[in-house]
Formats: sequence, C-alpha cells, structure tokens
Amino acid sequence: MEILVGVLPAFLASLVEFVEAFTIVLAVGVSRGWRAAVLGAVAAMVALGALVLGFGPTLLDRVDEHVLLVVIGVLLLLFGTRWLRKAILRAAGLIPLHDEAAAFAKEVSELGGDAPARSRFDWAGFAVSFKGTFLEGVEVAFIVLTLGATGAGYGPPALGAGAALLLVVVAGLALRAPLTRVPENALKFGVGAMLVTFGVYWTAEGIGVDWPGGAAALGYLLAATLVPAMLAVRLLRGSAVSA
Amino acid sequence: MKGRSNWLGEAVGLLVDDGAVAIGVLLAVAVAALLVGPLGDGVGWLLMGLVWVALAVSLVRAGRSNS
Repeated sequence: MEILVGVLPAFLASLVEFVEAFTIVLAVGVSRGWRAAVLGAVAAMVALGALVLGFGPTLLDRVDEHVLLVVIGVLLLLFGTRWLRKAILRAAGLIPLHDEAAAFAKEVSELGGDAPARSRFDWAGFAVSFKGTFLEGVEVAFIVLTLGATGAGYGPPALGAGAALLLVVVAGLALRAPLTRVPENALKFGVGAMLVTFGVYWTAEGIGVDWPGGAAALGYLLAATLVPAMLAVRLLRGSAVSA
Repeated sequence: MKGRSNWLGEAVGLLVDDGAVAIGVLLAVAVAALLVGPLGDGVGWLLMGLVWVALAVSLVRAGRSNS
C-alpha cells in the first residue's frame, strides 16, 4: 500500500510535467538545434537530482516527525488544491484546456530567428531548455521529496518519476512531435485529488489525528475528494451553460 | 528570445495561483490544530471540510467571473 501511494501519484504527476518539458525541449531542438536543447535538459535533470538527494536525507534525519508531517501535508494541500482547482475549471470549460501543440508553436515562433552560427554553442537555447525542464521538473522533485519523506522512502516515488521520464522520452523520440494525446487534464484532476488527499491525511496525522483504518483511510479520503470535485465540475458546467 | 523571467515569481506560482485558496488552506490547518484537543480524531474531517470550503469559494468566484 505504501509503495503504491509513492509510485502512482509520482508517475502520473511526472508524466504531465515531463510532457510539458518535452514540448519546450522539442521546440528548442527544432528551432535552434539539438545540442543545446538536449544539454540544457540533461543539466536540468542533474540539478533536480541533486536537489532531491540534497534535501531528502536532511528532511528525514533532522526534522521532528510530527513537524515534518504537518509541513509536508500543508505543502501538498497547497500544491494539490492548485492542480485540482485548475483541473476542475478546465473540465467545466471555464478556462481552456492546455494545448500542447499550441504551446509548441508559440515556443518555436519565439525562439526562431536569431539562432547562432553552427560553430558557436547556443547558450540562449541551452538556457531556455534548462529553465523549461527545471521549472517543470521542480514540481516532480517536490512530489518525490514529499511522498518520499512521509511514505516508504524515496525509492517508490523516484521509480514512478523515472518510469514517467522513460515513457515520455521513448514516446517523444518515436513521434518527434509534441505529445498532444496525453489526457493532461484528466491526469491533473486525478493527481490533484490524490495530493489533496495525502495533504489532509498527513496534516491531520501531524497534529495528532488517528485515522480509522490507518493507511486505508486514504481510500475513503480520496473518495471524499473526488466526489465533490466531480460534482463541482457538473455544477460549474451547468452554470456556464445557463449563463 | 524571451527576456529574463521572474524566477521567484514562477517558483511561488508553483504552490499558489489563487491567494484566497492558499490562505483558506492555511487557516483550515490552523483551525484544525487548535480544535484537535476538544474534537479529537474528528478534526481530520473538519480539516477536509474547511479545505473544500476554501476551494468552493474560489471555484464559485471563478464561475461568476466567467459568466
């Protein structure tokens, strides 16, 4: 159960973020050259790995367990409510769905036009690829750190994130185009609900609550998050139609 | 090419895109922590309920601003 709690949300969240990072790297590669694009992405992944390895053991070793549960629970609540709120609004049609193809086209049009000569290293392209991969990946690092600190160690969430990265790289290399068919909003809806669930569970545990059923409480808490979320989508859709 | 972007703003934006929800969540946690003594384990459900209140208020506001 603890391993599943670590692997699944990390895999799903990482899938969404790595797809977005891939779009940026692809745009840099197509418009300015692959060397800078790939090196920027790899440098960002190394930096993120160092972030997780640097902070992870510190969190486990030096912070009181109850304080850790509350801090991580609150961070997960903030992060999860942000994802869930946007996913509900997108599902209800109140804000547009994220369009990976449009994001790719926009990046290519902004990046093109001033690519350097082939003999010079494209530091600007490297910076865009690094920044895009780092910012998308920092959400993955955050999820790996928080799930790892409160669950069955860093292995399961790191495995989930690694599996998602591999899947995106393989799919991206095969298609050589933005990964537009990934159901991003459905994934964000599910992951947002999971993160809110974990956030409530661990925050409450940190302040002294014993949930009936122990870790099995995550099941009914997830239901208590998903049901109102789906109801919110229906109500908002209905109010948008009648307006 | 884009100019330098606001890294700090983007970092904060990873956690918060509606300040009211973030404040609501923090208040919910504070209320739950204060009431865990009298309410015991039931405060977990109070926390869930208060988080949903914060989310619901934000969603209603978003719904109204789009209509």
